[in-house]
Amino acid sequence: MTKSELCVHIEEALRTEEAANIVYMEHLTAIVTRSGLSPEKIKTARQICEYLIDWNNQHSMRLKQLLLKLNGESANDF
Amino acid sequence: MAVPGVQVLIIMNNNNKSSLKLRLTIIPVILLTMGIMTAVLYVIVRTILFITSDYPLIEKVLALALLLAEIFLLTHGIGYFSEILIVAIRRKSLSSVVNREQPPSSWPPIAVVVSSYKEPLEILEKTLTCFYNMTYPNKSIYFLDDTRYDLPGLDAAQMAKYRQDIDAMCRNLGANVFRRRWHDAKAGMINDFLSFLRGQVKEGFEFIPSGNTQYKGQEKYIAVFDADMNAFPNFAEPLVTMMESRPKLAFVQTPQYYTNFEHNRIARASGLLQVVFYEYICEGKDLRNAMFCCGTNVLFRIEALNDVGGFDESSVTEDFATSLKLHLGGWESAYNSKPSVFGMGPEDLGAYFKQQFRWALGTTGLLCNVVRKFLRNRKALPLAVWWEYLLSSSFYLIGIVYLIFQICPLLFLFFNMPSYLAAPKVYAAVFIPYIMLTLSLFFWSLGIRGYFFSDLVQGQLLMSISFPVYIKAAISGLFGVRGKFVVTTKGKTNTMSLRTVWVQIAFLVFNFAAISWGFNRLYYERELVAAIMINMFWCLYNFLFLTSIFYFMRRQE
Repeated sequence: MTKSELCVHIEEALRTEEAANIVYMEHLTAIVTRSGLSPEKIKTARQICEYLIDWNNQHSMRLKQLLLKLNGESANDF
Repeated sequence: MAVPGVQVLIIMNNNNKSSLKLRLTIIPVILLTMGIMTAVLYVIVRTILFITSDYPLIEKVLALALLLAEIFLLTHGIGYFSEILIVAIRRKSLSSVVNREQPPSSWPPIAVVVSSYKEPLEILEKTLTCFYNMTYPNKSIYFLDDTRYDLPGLDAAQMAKYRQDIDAMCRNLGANVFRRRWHDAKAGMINDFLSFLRGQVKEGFEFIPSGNTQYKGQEKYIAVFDADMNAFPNFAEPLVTMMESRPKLAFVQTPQYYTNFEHNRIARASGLLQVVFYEYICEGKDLRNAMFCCGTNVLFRIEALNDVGGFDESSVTEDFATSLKLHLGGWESAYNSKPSVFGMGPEDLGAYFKQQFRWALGTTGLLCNVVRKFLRNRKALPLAVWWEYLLSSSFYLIGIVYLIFQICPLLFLFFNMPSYLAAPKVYAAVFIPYIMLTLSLFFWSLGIRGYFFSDLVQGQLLMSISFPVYIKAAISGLFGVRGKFVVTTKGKTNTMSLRTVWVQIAFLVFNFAAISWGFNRLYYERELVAAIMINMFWCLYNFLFLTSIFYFMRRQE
């Protein structure tokens, strides 16, 4: 895979899974508190949402760092 | 606030569907009919008493104002219960309904648009990210940049930077950018964009094709969003399915749910106020083909918009005005109650008042228009649709009604007028059954959808302290003041000074004084005891409602 192809894939991953999931999870975290579930289930659901947000943020940061690193690379094949 | 779509999912997942789903039984219909009947009975008794009583002129005027205020409230109450009744009868259930129509064999192209006036980039980025991630196959995203870069007094460098950032963000998120020579805010922008899609290029247009342009000009539908509304991936498919199966359908509206309610009491209360509208009212309007567009989270048929000359640019609530045009043009409308768009509500009282002022000004401004059109051509729409439009366009007169309800007990306690109020036996015989039954029905019907009493009260508190805003807007609207489109502030909170809520504070003081004076009268006069106590009760009720202004004014980070 060429460097530009790899960059396109990383950018696409950032636009889809990482950024979008964070937005969805932020809303779901709030929505779940009003879902009518038991407090224990709400707590679990919120923890999962928060966990996913955290991981998506970390992925997003890593992908951005990777993009920066790739742009600084002279090699074209990966 | 509860979210019906989520509830439905949870109910289904728990395999506990039958426990919450209230099948149509004779009981809800009887209760609702009784609610409407007690309201009608109350109005009749009050009207007869007013006509037969012999008051001095000043008291006659005040008593008439109070009677009209009560009739207004009862009319809207009857309107609300009739919506629930129609949902109960036609759907045979009061629980939320999920549409299960078959999708079309192919998905026609749609334009997904957001019109933005100087909105913060971080808010826009989330919105465009959600557009990008919509699963609808044939979509083109358009960012309608309505920011006025040419206004004098702006920092040119800062504005140029903002423009560059917008372009870069749209490039990254696959959104085409559209700009035009500014006129008439959002309605004008969408109309100009529709002209552009038709190939009519006007002077001052700018188009940056930084997204999918494969379907440009072929789009059959246009999904319209506010800048802070985040659509979930499956937003478009169910709506296009509805549109494809009903060729006369001009638009499908979906609910607007705020999710910034957890840490913000204004967003929470305004969201809870909205659910009253987005639950039974919208569903009832849908069943009567009288649903009006709410400006965001809506899918329009472009042919229908073109047919009526585009969005109505004469009103600040162009969505409501355009809906009337569409209905008068023979088009239909629908509501899909499944929430698939989430956004941010106003986060401070100033932003909330601004939003409410605009809504109230726009809809009340259209009241005269609705009445005029009704009188000129009553047969243009079914009576049920006119009734819905009259209810919706007159709703914000509620501010004047609140004012009358505030003034009357004060006048009685301080000046012993209007003597019309001093009929405790009549109150006990017709008012108590009416108020108990209607309030119980209101909370019960929303309880079925998962809203608690304490939640709903917050929304009612916020509405009641907004009465000066509604009055100002209603008077302006009735006198034809057009007003300006003001964007609701998002993402930051500002504290309001006490001076800006002086009307509420003044009534707070008057009510407190009236209660104290009432005790004084009870102790020394020993007459009209029941009437004084009833009016003291209303002053206390108003006083407690008004104290919530301090709760809502408290700054929140």
